[in-house]
Amino acid sequence: MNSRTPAPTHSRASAVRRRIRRWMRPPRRLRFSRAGWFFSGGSVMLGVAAIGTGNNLLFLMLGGMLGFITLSGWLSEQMLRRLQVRRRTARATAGAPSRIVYEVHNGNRRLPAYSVEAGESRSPARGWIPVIEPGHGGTARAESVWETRGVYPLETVTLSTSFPFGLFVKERDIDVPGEVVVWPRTDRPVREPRPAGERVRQTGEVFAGSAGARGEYRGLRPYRAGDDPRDVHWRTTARVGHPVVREYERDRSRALWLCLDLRAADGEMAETAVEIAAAVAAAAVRRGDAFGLATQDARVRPGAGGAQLERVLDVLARARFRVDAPRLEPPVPAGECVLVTAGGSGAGWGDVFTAAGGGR
Amino acid sequence: MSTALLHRRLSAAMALAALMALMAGAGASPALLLTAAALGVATFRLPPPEWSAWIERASRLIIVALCAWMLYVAFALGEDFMPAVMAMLLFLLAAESLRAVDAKNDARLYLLSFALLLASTAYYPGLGFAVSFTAFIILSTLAVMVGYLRRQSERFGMPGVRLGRRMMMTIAAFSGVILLVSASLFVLFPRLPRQWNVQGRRGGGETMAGFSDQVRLGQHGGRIVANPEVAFRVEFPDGTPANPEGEYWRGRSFDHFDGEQWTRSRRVVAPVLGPALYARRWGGPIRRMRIFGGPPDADVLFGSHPVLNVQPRSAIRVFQDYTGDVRYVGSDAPVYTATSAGPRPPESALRTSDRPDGPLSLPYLQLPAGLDPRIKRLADSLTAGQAARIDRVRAIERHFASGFAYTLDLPRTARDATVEGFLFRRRAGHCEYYSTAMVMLLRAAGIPSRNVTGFLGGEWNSFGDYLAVTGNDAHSWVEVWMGGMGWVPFDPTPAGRADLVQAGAQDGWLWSATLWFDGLEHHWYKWVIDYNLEKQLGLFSRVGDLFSRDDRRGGDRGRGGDGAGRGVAVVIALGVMGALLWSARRWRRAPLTEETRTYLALRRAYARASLGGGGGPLDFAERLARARAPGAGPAGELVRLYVAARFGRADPGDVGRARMRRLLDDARAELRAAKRKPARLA
Repeated sequence: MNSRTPAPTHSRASAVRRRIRRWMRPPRRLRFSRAGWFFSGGSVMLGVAAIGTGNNLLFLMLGGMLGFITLSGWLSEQMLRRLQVRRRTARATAGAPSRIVYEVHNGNRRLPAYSVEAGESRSPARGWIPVIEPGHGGTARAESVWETRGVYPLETVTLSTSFPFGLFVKERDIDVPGEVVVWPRTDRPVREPRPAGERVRQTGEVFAGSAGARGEYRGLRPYRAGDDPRDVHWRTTARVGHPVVREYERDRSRALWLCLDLRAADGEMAETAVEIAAAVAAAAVRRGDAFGLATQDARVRPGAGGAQLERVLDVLARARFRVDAPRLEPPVPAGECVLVTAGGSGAGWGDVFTAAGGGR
Repeated sequence: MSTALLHRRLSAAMALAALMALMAGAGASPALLLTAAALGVATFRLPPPEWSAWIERASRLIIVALCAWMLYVAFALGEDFMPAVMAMLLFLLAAESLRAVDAKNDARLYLLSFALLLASTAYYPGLGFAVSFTAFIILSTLAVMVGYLRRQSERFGMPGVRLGRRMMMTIAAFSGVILLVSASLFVLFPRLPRQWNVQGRRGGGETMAGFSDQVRLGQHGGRIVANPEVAFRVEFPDGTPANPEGEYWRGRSFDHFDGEQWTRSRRVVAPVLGPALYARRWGGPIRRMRIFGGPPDADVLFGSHPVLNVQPRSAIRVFQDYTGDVRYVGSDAPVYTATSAGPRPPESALRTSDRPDGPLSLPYLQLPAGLDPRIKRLADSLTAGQAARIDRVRAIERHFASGFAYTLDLPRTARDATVEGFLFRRRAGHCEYYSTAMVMLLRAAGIPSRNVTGFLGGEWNSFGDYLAVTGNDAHSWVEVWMGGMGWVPFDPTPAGRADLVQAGAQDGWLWSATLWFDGLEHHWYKWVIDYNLEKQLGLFSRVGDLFSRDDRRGGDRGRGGDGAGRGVAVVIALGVMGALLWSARRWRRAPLTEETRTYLALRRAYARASLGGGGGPLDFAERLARARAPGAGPAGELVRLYVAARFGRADPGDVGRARMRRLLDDARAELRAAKRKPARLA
């Protein structure tokens, strides 16, 4: 199920509010489903009819309806009371569906837990587990769409069930601290960077011994997420039982330095700048170019491939714009770098992408 | 079976249960049977999916037709359109249940089934409703639960969720909770006084053959057929009389006979005696009888003559008409308590009760025009030489004791089917001939009298401790105006009647089963259908009495009350014990950590080997070490880890816990090894 999630808030006031809310949180919450409203309203009307007519069979039926409500309350409590939950998050990309996995364990020794939903509190995204046997676990996957990049703190997992009749939804909050890192979008159309008006020049640095894009063969190492599947050394993989890839010396003479200037007001232009940087990096990966990233707060040494892109996107996800940020120091002469800025001047830089220009 | 198919079958079975509940009240009709057949098909073998579109198209047409019929009946004919509404309801239910299994119509099926069950309550159904209601609750619990899981699996894109048999059985068992809540609420929900209820149940539409508001002679050819249907039930709250099956249940009286039929004259006011006078002059114990129901289409209440007072217990209005008969109005079934004086006045009082008859008694001397003069002559001859009215009445009554026979066979010819034919030729007949003939003779002798109908006796139902009065007990007898003693009953019908009317109809296991079922049904009507504020308060009061420590009340209660009190005390004690055990079990279970469980397993292992004894963990370890018990080494190490975790609050971690488990295994292994070599244990 997809859902849109608001941008994260980091203010101290919001942290205090969250703490107060957690402190005042009831152990369980009960909500009526639409069917529940109809059922309860029908019960009230039947009760009025029973009292008005004195027809005892109506009292019997009223008792039956209240019995349904009682059984709903009792069973839903039994389903939730002994559950424990762990959360597994993967990196997400802004605007694209991503999953959070919840591993729920049923500590009840006799009763299975039926129809358990798991998701973040205050987020409508839910994963569902049809049944968790006594003493066993189950996995729920909640799919959501994060609107903007950033680091979203996750505090509380809400376990809920409307078992057995779907009349009421009972919810239980469990504190499971964590976070989800949302990368910026990489699909923004951008032109090819032209530092100093031409292709990236040689930097003159010594890069011998560094791992990265295809150069001289260096050795074998375990597979890491983002590695090129073509580099898998199948014979060794079959022998050791886990994927192993060939590693090459990197040819860093063509490394592209992306410099993201964080000295700007946080807002739409800043987000555009981040997306341009991400798109430029992704384009470099597609071309097989090596690239590095430098901001006022972090620096990623040049590299290539999917793993390098992940490292860069992680830094971009955490990038925090502020007007009082120090001046951006380029890792190599500015004329050999590509500056991405939310609106500042690009004088002296090899190439400049401004947010206003939209990556063109 | 897929979840969707299981859901449809359960929903159809649920609707079938609701339909059975309706049939329990309204009876079977072609429409109901057709719907039941459709639901049966949906339950056991759903038609192929291609039928669904066809059924849907046909349904639209039929619904339009039914709507048109409903409007026509309501507005053109101005008649009751409820039958059309019921037909629509039944049709929709059948059509929805036969639709394709993936049609999203479960909410409609639930609603229609519920509406059917609701409609069935308007008929005040019998025990069949209880069975159907129980089935409905169980099936609806399963159907709604399966439907919910089905919808959830569709919502989360996880089709093919399997529902195990164990799960279904568990949920079906949980429906017991619903039934329990239903029963509890039924008993405990505060009832309003009965006057609030303006609506009640109607009697059945059939006319019972046994009792009729009409008394007519002249029928001939054939035989009176036995009718074992229960007309009403009687409870005796003051104790069961010695012979409840000999009681007369007086109903209607008739003053005018035209030679063939008895009727009630509109403007005749009968001489009456007030209840207080009846009570004083007849003497005997005042008896209370609680009567449930009455024959259909009879607006008269029954009671043992003379009825002094009638206290209605259902929504009826009771009044005494101009002849002294007790009648009622109201759509509710009659439930009432009748209070009566002694069954017969003292013989001595009857002898001294002669008083001149007033003008009000004159209509009770009426004779039909053209009455056979032989009747007058017979009456004179029978009463010749008798001065006291009671003697003259007895003489006429005695006339039927010999030479007359009781038969259920009707006269063969119209000539025989008259009073004269009965008295002078056939000399055999049923009770109406006897009572009519006696009244004719009494009136011919100048004694005011009237014909009375009602019931004689009944069948004592020991299962429910009540008297079941059936159609077979319908009877007719005579009341004579005895001046100071009021109307006194006489019965000229020979004693052989009882054997004849009961013969064949009320024998064997079938009749016993019928009585047992009637007992169940009586309890159903008494404690469910007629459960009211009074019964609720009475029930609470009785429960309160059981807990009361008031000696005086305890003394009144007698042995039965003490027994019940002891029973309740035992139940409470068992309940408290059960609750304590349960909570102790929970208390023991809840805080147990894995370290504690491992340690306790160790203690149990040594206890089984008769080693270890009591005391704390350190004592236990020391004893093992001193005794050089097998496994003392690993056991001591395990105890040390346990004590550190339990009392030193040091978390042993997963490694520590795993080590404890290994130590337990080692200790057990050494114990097992020692067991194989008993000498080492010694």
